[in-house]
Parts: sequence; C-alpha cells; structure tokens
Amino acid sequence: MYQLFLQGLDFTVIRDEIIWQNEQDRNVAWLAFFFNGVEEVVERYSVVIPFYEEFHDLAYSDMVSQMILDRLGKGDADVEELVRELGVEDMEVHLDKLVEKELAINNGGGTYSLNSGGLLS
Amino acid sequence: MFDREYLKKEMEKLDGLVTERLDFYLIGGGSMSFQNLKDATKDIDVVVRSEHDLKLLRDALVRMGYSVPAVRGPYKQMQASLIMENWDGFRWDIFVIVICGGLRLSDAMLFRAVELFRLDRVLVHMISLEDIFIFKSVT
Repeated sequence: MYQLFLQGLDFTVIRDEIIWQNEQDRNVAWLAFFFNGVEEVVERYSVVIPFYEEFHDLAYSDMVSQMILDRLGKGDADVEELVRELGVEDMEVHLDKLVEKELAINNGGGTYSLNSGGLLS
Repeated sequence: MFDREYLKKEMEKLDGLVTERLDFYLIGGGSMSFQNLKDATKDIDVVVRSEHDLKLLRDALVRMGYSVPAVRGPYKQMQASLIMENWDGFRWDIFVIVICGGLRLSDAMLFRAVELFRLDRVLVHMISLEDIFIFKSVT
C-alpha cells in the first residue's frame, strides 16, 4: 500500500471510484475495509492522504448501514428503537439511503423492515 | 514467493492451453510485480468479465495441473469465484466482475487499465495504480 502511495497516486480518481462503487454497492461493508487499509497507511507511515475525512465519513456511513441492516434482519423496528439500540445520530438520513438503495423498506409510521429481495438482487 | 518471470511463464503455458481468446485483469500483487513495485508474490488476483471466461481459464489451469485447494479463513472471506493452486504452491484467486463481495470492476477501471502483454490467445491487462490501491485496501 505504501509502495503504491509513493508512486504519486491521483486521489481524485480514487475518490470518484469509491463514490461510484458506493452508489452501486448492494452488500455494503467493504467501505469499512477500504478505510481501514487507508488508515493503516496514514498511521504507520505518517502520511497525509487526500480526502481522508471524506473516506472516513463514507466508511462510517457504510458501517452504520451494516448495523441497521443487521438489526432489521432480526425484525422490523421504528426510528426510535433503532436510535436507542444502535446509538447512531441522523438515523433518518441513514434509513433514507437504505430505502433508496432498496435494502430497507419504509412501512410508514416511522417503521422500517429489511428488504430481503434487495439484498439478494 | 514467485517472481514476475515465473508469472510470465505460467501465463505462456496458459496461452498454449486456452481454446479461445481470453482477457483477464491483474488487480493485486501480481500486477505490482509486473510494474516493478514488488519483487515477488505468493499469488495473483485476477478478474475475468464473464462466467464463460472463468470456465476457459479454469479448464486451462486444470490442464496445467492446478487444483482447488482447501480454502482457509482470510481467503474464504475474499469470496473469490475460484481459487486454484499448483504443486509449487502458486495460487490464482479468480473473480468474475465482483471482487470480495462488493467491489466491481467498473467501466472506469476498464478504461484506466492498460494491456500488459498479448500472447496468441491470452491478453493480460493490469488495472491502474489507483485501482490497485482500492483493491489492496479492501483485501
């Protein structure tokens, strides 16, 4: 990774690709692994990686999405329950993204369920 | 560990055994070996673009003496479509479009990829350093 970094990578290309992949992705989770890899390079070699904060925010959102999907996999839940159980801020924002990706279903009245069909497709 | 000469020879053997044109993309340490960024690698990560190409590659590797090894922990997590290993312990991790269950070989990645070398039937491409960075971060 560090060897690659030393080649003078164009991080705009990396950011654009990550954002595109994140929009397509239906399995989530991989972005957290991506950020872990980036974080390791930053910590071990004390280098500055462009868009580091943006990568962090994307990975955080990805991780929260995974937590919400895991929870909804155990049964429907409303926003208050999810906030209480997962301790995540801006829960509606994350839920809206999952609904947009067809990974979760908004049942109305603030209740959400897992869209198993979306996960399988 | 296996150097780029070993990798090249394996691909030349493969070229003699595939029955149709086969394109594949090197996405990890193998690609870095060919770009002199790594002296040797224990395996290569390869992406093909269809199940048909996967079958072509698998059939040729089987004829070269490769077999499917027992898959252990981290390798299993990578969710490769196929893993094949030869008697030397050299391994091919092969993916069809989607890598590690999430990342996709996108059109933009294909556009950025360059042809590494062209044999009679086998065309070996390598993805850009930026895209290798993404894949290596994930794997």
